[in-house]
Amino acid sequence: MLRKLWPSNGKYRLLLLFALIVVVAVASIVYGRRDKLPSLQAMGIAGPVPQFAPVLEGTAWQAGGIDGEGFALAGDSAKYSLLLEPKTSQLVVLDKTGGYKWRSNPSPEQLKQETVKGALLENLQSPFVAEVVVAGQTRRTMLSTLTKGLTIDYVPIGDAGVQATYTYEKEKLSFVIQFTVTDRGLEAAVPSDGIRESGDYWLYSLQLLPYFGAVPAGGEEGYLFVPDGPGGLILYDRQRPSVASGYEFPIYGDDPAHVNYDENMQAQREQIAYPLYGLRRGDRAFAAIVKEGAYTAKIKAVTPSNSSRYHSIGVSFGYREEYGRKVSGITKETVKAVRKERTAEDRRVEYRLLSGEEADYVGMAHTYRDYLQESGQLGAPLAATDRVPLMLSIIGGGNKPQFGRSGYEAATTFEQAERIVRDLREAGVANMSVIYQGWQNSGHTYTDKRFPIVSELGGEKGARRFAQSMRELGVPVLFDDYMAWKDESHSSFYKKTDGIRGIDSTVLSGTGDAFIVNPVKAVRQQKLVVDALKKIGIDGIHYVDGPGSIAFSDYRSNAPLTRGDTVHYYRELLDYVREQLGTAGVQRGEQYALGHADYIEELPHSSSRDFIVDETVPVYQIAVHGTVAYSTAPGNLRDVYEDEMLRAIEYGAIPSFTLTYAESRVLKGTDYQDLFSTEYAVWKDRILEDYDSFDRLAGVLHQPIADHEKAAEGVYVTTYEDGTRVTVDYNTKQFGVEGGRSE
Amino acid sequence: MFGRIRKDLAVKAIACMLLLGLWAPQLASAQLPYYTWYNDLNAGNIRTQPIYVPDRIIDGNGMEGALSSPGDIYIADDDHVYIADTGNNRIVELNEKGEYVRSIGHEEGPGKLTQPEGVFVAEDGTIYAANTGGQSIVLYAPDGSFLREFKKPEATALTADYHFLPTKIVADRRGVMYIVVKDTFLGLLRMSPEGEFTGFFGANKAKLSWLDRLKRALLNEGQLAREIAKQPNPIQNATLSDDGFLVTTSSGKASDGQIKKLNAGGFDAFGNKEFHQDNLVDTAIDRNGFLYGLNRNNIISISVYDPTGEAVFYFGSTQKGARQLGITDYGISIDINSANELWVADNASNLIQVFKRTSFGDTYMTASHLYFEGDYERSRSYWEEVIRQNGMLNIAYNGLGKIALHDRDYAAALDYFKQSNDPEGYSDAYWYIRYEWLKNNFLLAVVVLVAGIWGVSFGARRLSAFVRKRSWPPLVRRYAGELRDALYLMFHPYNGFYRLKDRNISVAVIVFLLALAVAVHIWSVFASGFIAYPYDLGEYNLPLSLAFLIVPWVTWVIANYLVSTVKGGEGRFREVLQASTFAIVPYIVITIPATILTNFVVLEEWIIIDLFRQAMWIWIIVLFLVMTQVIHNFDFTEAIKNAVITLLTIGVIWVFATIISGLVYNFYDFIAQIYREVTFRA
Repeated sequence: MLRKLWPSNGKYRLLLLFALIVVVAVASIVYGRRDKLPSLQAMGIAGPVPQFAPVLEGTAWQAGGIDGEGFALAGDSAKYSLLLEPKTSQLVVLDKTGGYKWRSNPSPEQLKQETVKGALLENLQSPFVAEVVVAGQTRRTMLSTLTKGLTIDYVPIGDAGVQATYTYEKEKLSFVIQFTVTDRGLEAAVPSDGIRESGDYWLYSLQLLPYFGAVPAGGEEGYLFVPDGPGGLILYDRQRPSVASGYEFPIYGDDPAHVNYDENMQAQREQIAYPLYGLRRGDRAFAAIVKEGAYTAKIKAVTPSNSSRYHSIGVSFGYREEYGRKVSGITKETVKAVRKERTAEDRRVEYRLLSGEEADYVGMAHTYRDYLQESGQLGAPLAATDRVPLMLSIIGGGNKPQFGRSGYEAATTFEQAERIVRDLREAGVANMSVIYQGWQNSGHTYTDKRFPIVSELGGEKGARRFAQSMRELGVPVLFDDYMAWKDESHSSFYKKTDGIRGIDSTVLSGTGDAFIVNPVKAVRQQKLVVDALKKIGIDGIHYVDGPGSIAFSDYRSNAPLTRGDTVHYYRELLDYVREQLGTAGVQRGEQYALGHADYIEELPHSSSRDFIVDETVPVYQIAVHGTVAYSTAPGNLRDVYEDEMLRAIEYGAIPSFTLTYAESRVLKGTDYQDLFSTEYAVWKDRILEDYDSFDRLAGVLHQPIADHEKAAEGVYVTTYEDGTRVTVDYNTKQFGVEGGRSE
Repeated sequence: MFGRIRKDLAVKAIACMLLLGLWAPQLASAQLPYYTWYNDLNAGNIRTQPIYVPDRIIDGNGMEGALSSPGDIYIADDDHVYIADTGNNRIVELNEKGEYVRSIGHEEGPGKLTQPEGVFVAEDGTIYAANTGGQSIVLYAPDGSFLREFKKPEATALTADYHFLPTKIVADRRGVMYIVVKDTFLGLLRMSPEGEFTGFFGANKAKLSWLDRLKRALLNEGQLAREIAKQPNPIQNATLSDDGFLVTTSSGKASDGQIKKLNAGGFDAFGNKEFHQDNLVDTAIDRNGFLYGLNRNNIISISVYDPTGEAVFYFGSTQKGARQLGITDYGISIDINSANELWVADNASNLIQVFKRTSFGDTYMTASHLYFEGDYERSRSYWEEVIRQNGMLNIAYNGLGKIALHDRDYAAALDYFKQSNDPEGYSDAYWYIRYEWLKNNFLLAVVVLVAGIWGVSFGARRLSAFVRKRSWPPLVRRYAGELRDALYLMFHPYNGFYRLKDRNISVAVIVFLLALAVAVHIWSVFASGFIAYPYDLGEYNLPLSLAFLIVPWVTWVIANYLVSTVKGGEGRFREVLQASTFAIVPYIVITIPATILTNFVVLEEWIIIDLFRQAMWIWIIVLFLVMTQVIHNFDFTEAIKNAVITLLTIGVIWVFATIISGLVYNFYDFIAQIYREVTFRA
């Protein structure tokens, strides 16, 4: 049989042999490149389950008694009634106790003084502004409830409110908005299933309630609240440079999958970390929480300028994005295009109305904290502690050029790290944790070539001994790791197959070889890391890059991921790490990571320094304090030493330092060379000094912040639940702690 | 030349790092919208903590109307700030905190300004306004009342097509005015206190490329006239320093001296040096002579120069539609007050940005100031503090080195200079160490030297006697003989190479000599004194340096054999190979003592090392020449001819090698892409 198949002709024999070799080679390549990562099931992680809110069907809503301005009662709760003007869908939320009216739009009297005309005037009278594009084009036109050819159908939602269906005849476009009144205020939702695009027009974006509670120029006290950094206030009636009349930024920053890294070169700024905005006028205020659809939403604040007389703030939901489509692989030229598919996500924003004492940014923070707690997004309260924990980042070392090649240079071996910890313990630092960095085999940051642990540091054996002695000392040890961005030369992933795809469906490319690894693959790989670290006896992983600091989509055609999906996997991973090792730490700690991390490094603590933002306030800190330990900039890497120390005290942070045992210069040429001063011997005294300062706040670490105020120029007071008052004076560079448990 | 390349690279490096900042979250805390870079001594740019942080903006609140296109900012000795509020036709005065004091020149009547773009305040309080729209200079008394107005002066040098559009103005102690006039290459217009034209001042000179020079040499006058005239950079701005120098700023690449520090005679203290920033618009100078240049470069916006004009720090950023503190849109003017705050006027955003110096900035600037003053003793504590706050900077170690040198602590100085990659300082310190050692041990040194020489020669004689007495195995004898021939050849090339003809030198000896050459090279890198490689040795690219030695030698062997065969040379390949190996013996013999010597000479004596090296290379070249002649039995001219052709052949081989490797790489890439495509689809 075999003999029959073996060709007699030498030429054919050769050909057959060659074919056999090719087949074997291809097979071995395919086999070698098979998916070797652990499965999600092995980690107990399930995929995200999309859920969509239902669109109500039913009998049309009958407007009851209509008041002088044309409003009819549309919903009722214990504290508020919802009034609706059927023609334009304008809303009024009536506070039953005081009779105060929150309006979705400027009142008719205010409109009479209006100087703008046309579409701008129409928008002022509409509870939403929708942007649409014609299929295949990028020019956007605006639709409001005053646009011609609109029909509105109302369906009641029980007693709580109404569902409005807006149908544009010419555009053959319709969508649904549900308005309900609650005991807290107003909730507005845009169900994804309610959107119909039956013609050529595509829904591009939807600004929901852009003028809710808008404050006209001149005369009123208060501010707009924007979530810039820890929180920012825009005061009314300030003279501003024309560039600074607006604030419009995406929640959780730009989606990296939408950014063209070749072109975009911009100043650094703090991306929005939590989906909250607000407005204060006199002794009234609202806090609006974007509960659903935050990943594709922008927060937009406007101050009076040529196009509007109002201070207003709202949320704009994006359904499609404009992007530059590459024309060919050779040139970098792009053509502007709008994504065809619509983002399928429900959108929901809740306006919580505040009055009296609570009508300020602290009240907004408190109601936001309540929301987080109710929805189970906040971590459990921290245990009370006598001594404040010190967060010690220790840099092992890194690769640097050596004689024309690259070689590892150790800055802190495991043994030296132990020496630092023991030395600090003896000097009086009673409570600390260690994050060990630079242990990865490749000697670089943004890597996933991790094992075996660098031998110059002591290798796995050294790590084990270190973990053992730290356990004896009661000091938890976390190893740092990177999840999202990778450099191809230090990664086991293949950029082309494992990198996420951008909106133009090509593999996303940062500078050089940089790419973002698909989150599912990255999460699956983490099982190997967790298993290995568990064997060594490490207590947790601190993610420098990934969960808590970056959320992105992946536009791969076979298994696309939204930002929400990525966040889902990242959250599941954090839970897995906590379950397996005990502790998980993240950078920045954006809202979606709360409750899944035990430590947040550099919780947003400084603003983007926008001209438009007049004051920076610790709203995010007020919302999360007492449920998670967080730090600001490491003590030895502060830009302005004393001020940032005081800010950390004011914001209720724990002390942190980033250290090496060797002199700082050892890190020159490594990926850590921007850390300008890290030598332990240089910093020891100041660490102890800082520790003593922070230790005065140990008793309030587990408590919520009750109040925060500016007592005088440069003097701020943070009050905790038990009445402890922390007064920070930036003029004299002093701070004081009074009241509470300590007295 | 080299410095220039390094600078350009440095700027590119900044751009790259900035881009990196985009995709990588910062390991160091990034709390400012911009980065600060330090141009380190002998090391290029590194990122540091900020020396200036944006503190506040002056945006027109409480100023009787917001600023409109501010054109100039001037801070007087009492720290009051004067702004040429161009769009509002006025001069605005603010107090030292930035609070509004008054407006000048906006009222109807004499002294009404139109579009003033420049302002200056003399020591006596007289306010000078460059009234650009009104084409005049207007003077006001300290109380703001109109004094007098100067129109375009009458002078034959100022022709009708010279438009008097003054944009900036300074006046010296005598009241002589130096006026920046828009769009002129003639320099500053100098005007007497009475308004008479007294000449142009400080004009830039166009930089000529070699092509321009060639044209000038070859073309006649008529042809030259048809060429587009090379125009120098126009002066953008002028500032008066405390010690009476006039600092001019020009932007563009057409001439050097983007910043000039001119004395009354027009002499540039910086010697028309090229500043590697061609978007400079204004310069501020502080009491200590440090300069702060304002750029319209999108990577940085402010560059700080030390009193010698060397760039030290870069920070800030420029962006269209800037909306953050610290980012300028269209910076136009910069000045510094007595608290070392930098005030920057932004013409497009209509506001003033104020930058505050950080404590690190203060420490660094003080240390650096004392360093340039030569007050090493006082600078010590500052440098130590700089090192505590930033352990990466070479200059701090250099400063400490100079202090140690001053204190005669030469060993410490040596170490500090080594840390800061400074061969000059190292050499100075070493000179003292050597001097002191010799002073104390001269006699001993002489005795040891004499005894050593005697001992070595005695030992050598005894050794050779011992060697001769014993009988050796034939192989060892053969190797020894061949090695002796190699040494003999060094000094008797013709005879030496004759001995090699028609003879096979053992492979072992050839390999041994080649390996020895490589080993000696590697050893020389590590054993050389610091002055030979004045940087972190880790940065030395050993494989590359070896390639620079080995590749030419290998191609020489091949090319020489090929050429000689074609040209009728007698040498076989084996002969060419062994002769070429013997020809590099001087490299081994001379590198060893030269390397040892590098540990004992100072920079001034470096010529000895250079002489050694040059002699060595000449020697090797001569040997190669003689080899070509003898091995192939050419006459002298033939040998020269063949050597030249061999060199050309080497070039051709390299070109081919480059092309082939390029093609091979392309082919490999093609296969790799197909492989990727297949695996991606699979």
